[in-house]
Amino acid sequence: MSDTTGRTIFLDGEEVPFERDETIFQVAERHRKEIPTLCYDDRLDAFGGCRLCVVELEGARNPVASCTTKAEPGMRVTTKSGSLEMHRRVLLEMVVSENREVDVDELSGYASQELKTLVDRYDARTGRFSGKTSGTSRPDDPNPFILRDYENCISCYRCVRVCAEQEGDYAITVMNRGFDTQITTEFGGLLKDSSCTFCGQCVQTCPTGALGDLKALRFAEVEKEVEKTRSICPYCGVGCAVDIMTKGDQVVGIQPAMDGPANEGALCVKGQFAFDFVHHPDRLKTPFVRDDHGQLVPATWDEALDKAAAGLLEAVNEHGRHSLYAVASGRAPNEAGYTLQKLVRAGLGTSYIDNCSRA
Amino acid sequence: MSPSNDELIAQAKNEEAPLLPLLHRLHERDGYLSDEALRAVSKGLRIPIADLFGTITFYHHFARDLGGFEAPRVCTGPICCLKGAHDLVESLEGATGMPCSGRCDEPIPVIRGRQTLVGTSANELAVRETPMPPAKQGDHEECVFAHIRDPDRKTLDGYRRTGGYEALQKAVTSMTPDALITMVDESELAGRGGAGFPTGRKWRAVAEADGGPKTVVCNADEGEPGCFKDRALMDHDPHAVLEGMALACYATGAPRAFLYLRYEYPETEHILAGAIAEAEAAGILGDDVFGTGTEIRIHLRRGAGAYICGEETSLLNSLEGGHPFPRNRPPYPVTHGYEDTPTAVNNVETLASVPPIVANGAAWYRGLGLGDHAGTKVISLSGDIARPGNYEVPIGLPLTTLIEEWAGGVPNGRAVQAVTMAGLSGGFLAGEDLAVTLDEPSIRSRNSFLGAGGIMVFDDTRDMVEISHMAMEFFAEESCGKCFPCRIGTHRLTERLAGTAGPDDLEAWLDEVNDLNKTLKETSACGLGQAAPLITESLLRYFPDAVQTHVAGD
Amino acid sequence: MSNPLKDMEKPDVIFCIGTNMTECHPVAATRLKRAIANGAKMIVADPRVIGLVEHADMHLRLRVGSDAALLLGMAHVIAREGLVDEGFIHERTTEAEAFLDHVKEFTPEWASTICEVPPELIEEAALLYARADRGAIYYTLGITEHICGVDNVQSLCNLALMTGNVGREGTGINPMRGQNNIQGAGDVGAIPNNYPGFQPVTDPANQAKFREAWGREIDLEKGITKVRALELAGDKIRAMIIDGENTVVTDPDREHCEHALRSLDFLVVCDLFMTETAEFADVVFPASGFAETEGTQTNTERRVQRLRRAVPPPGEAKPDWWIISQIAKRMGFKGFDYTHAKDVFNELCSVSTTYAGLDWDRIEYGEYQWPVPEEGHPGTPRLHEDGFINGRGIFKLIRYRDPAETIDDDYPVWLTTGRRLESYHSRTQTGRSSGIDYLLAEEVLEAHPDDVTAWGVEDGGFVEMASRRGSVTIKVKATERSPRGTVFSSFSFNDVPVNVLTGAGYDPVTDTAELKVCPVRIQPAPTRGSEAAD
Repeated sequence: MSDTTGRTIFLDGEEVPFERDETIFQVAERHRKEIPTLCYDDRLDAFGGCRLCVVELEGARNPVASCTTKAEPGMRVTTKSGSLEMHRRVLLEMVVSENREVDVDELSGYASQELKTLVDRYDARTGRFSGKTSGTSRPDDPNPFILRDYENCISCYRCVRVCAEQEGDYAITVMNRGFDTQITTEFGGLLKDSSCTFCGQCVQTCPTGALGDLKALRFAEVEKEVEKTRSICPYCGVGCAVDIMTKGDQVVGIQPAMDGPANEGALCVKGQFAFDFVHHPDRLKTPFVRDDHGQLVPATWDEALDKAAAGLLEAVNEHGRHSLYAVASGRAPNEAGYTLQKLVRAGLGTSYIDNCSRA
Repeated sequence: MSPSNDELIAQAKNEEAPLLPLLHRLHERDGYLSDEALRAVSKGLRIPIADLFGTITFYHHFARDLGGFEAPRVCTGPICCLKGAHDLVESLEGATGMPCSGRCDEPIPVIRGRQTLVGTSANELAVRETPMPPAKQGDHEECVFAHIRDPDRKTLDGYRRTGGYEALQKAVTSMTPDALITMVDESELAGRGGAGFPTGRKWRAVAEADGGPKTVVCNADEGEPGCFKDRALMDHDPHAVLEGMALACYATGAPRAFLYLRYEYPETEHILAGAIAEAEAAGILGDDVFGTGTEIRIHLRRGAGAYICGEETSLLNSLEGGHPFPRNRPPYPVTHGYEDTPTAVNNVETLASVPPIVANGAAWYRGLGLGDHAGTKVISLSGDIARPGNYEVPIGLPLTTLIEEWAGGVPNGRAVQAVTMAGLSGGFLAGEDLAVTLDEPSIRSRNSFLGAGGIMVFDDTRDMVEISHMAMEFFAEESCGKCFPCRIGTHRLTERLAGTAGPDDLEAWLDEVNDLNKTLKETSACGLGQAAPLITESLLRYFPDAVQTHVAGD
Repeated sequence: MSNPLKDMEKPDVIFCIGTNMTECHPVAATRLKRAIANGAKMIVADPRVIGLVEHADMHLRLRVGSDAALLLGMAHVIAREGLVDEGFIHERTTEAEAFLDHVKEFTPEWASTICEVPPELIEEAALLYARADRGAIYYTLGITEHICGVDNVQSLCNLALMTGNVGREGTGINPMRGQNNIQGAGDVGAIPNNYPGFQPVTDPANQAKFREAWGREIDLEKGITKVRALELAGDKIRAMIIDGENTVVTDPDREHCEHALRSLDFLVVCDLFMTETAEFADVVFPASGFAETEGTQTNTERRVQRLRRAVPPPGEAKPDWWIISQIAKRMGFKGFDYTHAKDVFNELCSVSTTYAGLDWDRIEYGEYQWPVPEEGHPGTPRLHEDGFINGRGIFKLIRYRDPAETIDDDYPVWLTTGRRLESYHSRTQTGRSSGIDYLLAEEVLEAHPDDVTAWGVEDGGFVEMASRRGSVTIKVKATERSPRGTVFSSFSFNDVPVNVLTGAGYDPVTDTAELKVCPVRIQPAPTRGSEAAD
């Protein structure tokens, strides 16, 4: 932590230090104040839209949005009071009133349970403020990846902001104004016809499931717990950390690791959506050996391993140790490449090995 | 032959704040904004096409269908509705309504292309000049209206005949910027657009801020329903506004200024453009103001129909070509305004007050107010009143003096039931509270505010719930959609005032409306959402019986 | 990469050459886009209007294979304008004098005659890069997959050295690695010249070290590259083990490659699928893959990260290391008694200089970037901060060389190949993932509309494209993304095996194939066109 001399605020009466340029929200979060919010994503510029994070600031006429207010020395901040909690509940009741539903499947996306969680925490399913609902869903968009269910949109614009600020694609935008606000592409078209790259960032930041991961939602009906396993994307060399979502032995989806050191929450269409190969019926399930008729046929491990060892040794025995060549994979883990180079080096004393980096 | 996309885009690239003028040129050239034209703009100005599209849809007036530019837009503001605006919409082919377009002292205005017509029925629509403020009333001295009625005042010659531009000349040749700021500070001039921030302090903050170039913006986006004072000033005394802007530039060290004019004043744009050209040709504006080497360039920019653009940070976003959501503050425009440069945003009336202050001195201006109050305020008076129009009152004048003595009272022998304050934003005053004086302390003590000075008068035949509904519908339509309480709350209040949603039970109804009022007022991100509940609050305060009847469904 | 991915948000001038980053490394590209949003300028050198161009301030539309000429021209301008970082050159480099003298010859006007970029743009780009406080170079296979790939890389190094854009935040020479663990494959010693940790096999000290570790004397001579090995297949090379590579589809000159594999006495393949390559094998082993395998991999910024198992592999599939170890054991080799990937990784760390400070537990959260020379070392996000590993940065005197084949009357069109966002290599994985077809259903040949018209083909019609090695039939897409006279296609689709055309030559140092340049002849292919229409 950097030097915070002279930089303290009073947070619910407790004097706490803050760092340069920190907002009240960030200071409060570090002190586990659990200020509610719906429009906040710590990767994005603070927006100040949902107003759930308002706090009382001594000397200010009205509560201030803690996400957009920088901490200043000597500030006296109250993060929780009867009045603040009343505002938060009223705001949540309002949000509930504009949506078709609050309960969405957790497979919808990384942040999809945020609204539901807050609504339950504030007991905001009161049915008050009923009226017209907002947002027009786009069931006409046939893309296989991103659900566009804007009837559950709360206009926090996290999707628009993540697309612009994080992804730099600017594929989606805010159309119209006020209650008629609608998330859209240029001229209201399909995502495929826009500059959308289907990276899925909008899906993962959506706090209501209005944008949903259609591939993961295929498994919504499977009655098993979702488990997450941290791993690394199998495609390019960037090395994005992912959480593999499983139900039992089934991979049901991928979520970006928000704390992944290389990607910090980002993924591309391949890492996000191209994972079905794992369970594809074409996967090899047994070893194969070439039979007397020249056909590759299934074999036991013992048969195959013996045959492989014998075949390789035969070449070595007849043509010398430099007659065996190994090609390692740029796709397999380090342990594969290491054992293979060790096989030629420790086994045969050669460096007759390469990998696929030359083509 | 009309210019091509490429030509217009090349021209725009050489301009400051190029997006809005470019879009207007295309809009007028084609009669609408086509997909093709927008794609060209996106490419030429490097604005993502989705963002450009979203921003276009934010504004009321950009037509997206062929011929839409010429389609009539009829003012359906609160006062025009009382005059039958909805019937007029019905009777004009292809017509749509538009929010209050700032001519409440006349028959209903209709905008068709670049022309404003007025009338109450389709066959009597006619082009008419903006009404001159009524003759001076009482024995109080005027400031901004002192010479507005002089002949030829809108021409450079006419303006100079009575001392026009002498204040600017005096300032640039014999005063330091600091001395000018001190003078304005001592005059106690404060923002006349409604916020009331001391003008001298604002200028000093800009002058002393790091970074540059400094920028002055004249906020002429007079969007508040019931306000039409800036139009009168700009139409009849354009050089006074320009001189005020030039003085602001000199004081703050800004080489450039923008005048952001609302879309609904097409004739005003023409008048101002002519005035700027005249002043530049005379060496009063431009790169060598009065031969002193000082550079002051005034750029005229036209909005496209959005009330929120009267909010200074939305205005700046709009000017920059962005989505016109208000910005989070701090930082304030005085340090991070137009393109993040230190920027003074001042209202038309504020700026027009500065030349007389420089000419006559700070003490003179201070002395124009009554009692402890400094200066004057233009009030736009409309509705059920014998002589609607703009009145420049000394601050502190009793409201009843203005209504009864200056403007001839309520016609047809009726009585005042209620008035609005600050256009609509201040909500209603009624009953005993009509005894206020026209100054912020007096009005604020009645839970309202003077704001930009629009006052609409409603006589005792009017349905106050229906008027409240119209008012709230305006706020709901103009809510930008950035913050939740305003976006949802104004809509829910509108529904409840319309009777289309909400509880039938009075207690439950009041419970909801009171909670909405409180949360809007205290948590909305900008003045729109904070002020909108004043309508419902004052309705409940003054007219509880009407509310009860409304909820009961009678 | 010399610098960490995070640094991609820090340059004030970005120079991207031969990298289609928005499609091939999309997540890395987002960082560049953020740098640009914060005011950075970007120069993109590429024959095609790739996605990066939309974000760029300058696009140098060079002819395929002419990178070295462009870079010489830029070096000339930087030297001539006195924008050389004298202090850096003096303290950190060698051969500078000769280099600065050498580039005098290569004016932008000269470069322009070869690379077809107007001289004034070469000047402008050179000045922009050289005047940057933090100039960063990013490149990918568009630089290396040439017969002059090494020259190209060294030309980029020259630019960075002469301007001192090395060893600081937001600078560097940054190759973007194309495959998830291609960096790791080199790190672990799966290359003919180095032991794990890039310890040269030609160094007797290393020979002694590994004799000690593995109990066997290993040749002091380098091995041969895969390219040579395939050439020698059936001759000197009689058996091969290929792990996780679809050589037949991804390597150049498919005909030659298939012939090579057929010539072997014995071929073992480990893969997830029965690939085109596996079809040639005598034994095929089912490997476990993503989501099934415990292990480690190393990304383009040298970050070592853990892979974890979320589901069991299908059927009897096993991890590659287990399969290879079992083969080794049955061949009678010692030292393959691993029970877990952890054992393998820890042994790798014990013999590698770059991973020496790591072990399985220490990389739990992936925060280390090698070199990590000893335990307790924090890792090295940025290389060359205090000095170059080998002492001083050496300027190399490069001259332009023509591609192995250049266009002529018989083959008048340049073909360049690459990848697309939605598909990966030979589509063994993306091609088996639902929905990808919605975005990219088939391969097309991108060609300039004028060229398409000149060939007498409709946009969307089929052409036959032939090189000196073979021909393919492919659908045409008219687009101004392609310059006149140059066409582009990926090699991902098996029904359009573009690599039957490529393979005219190899870099003499690295044996990297010239996949980015291949003269072709294009003519209408009416049969396939009408079939497709039915």
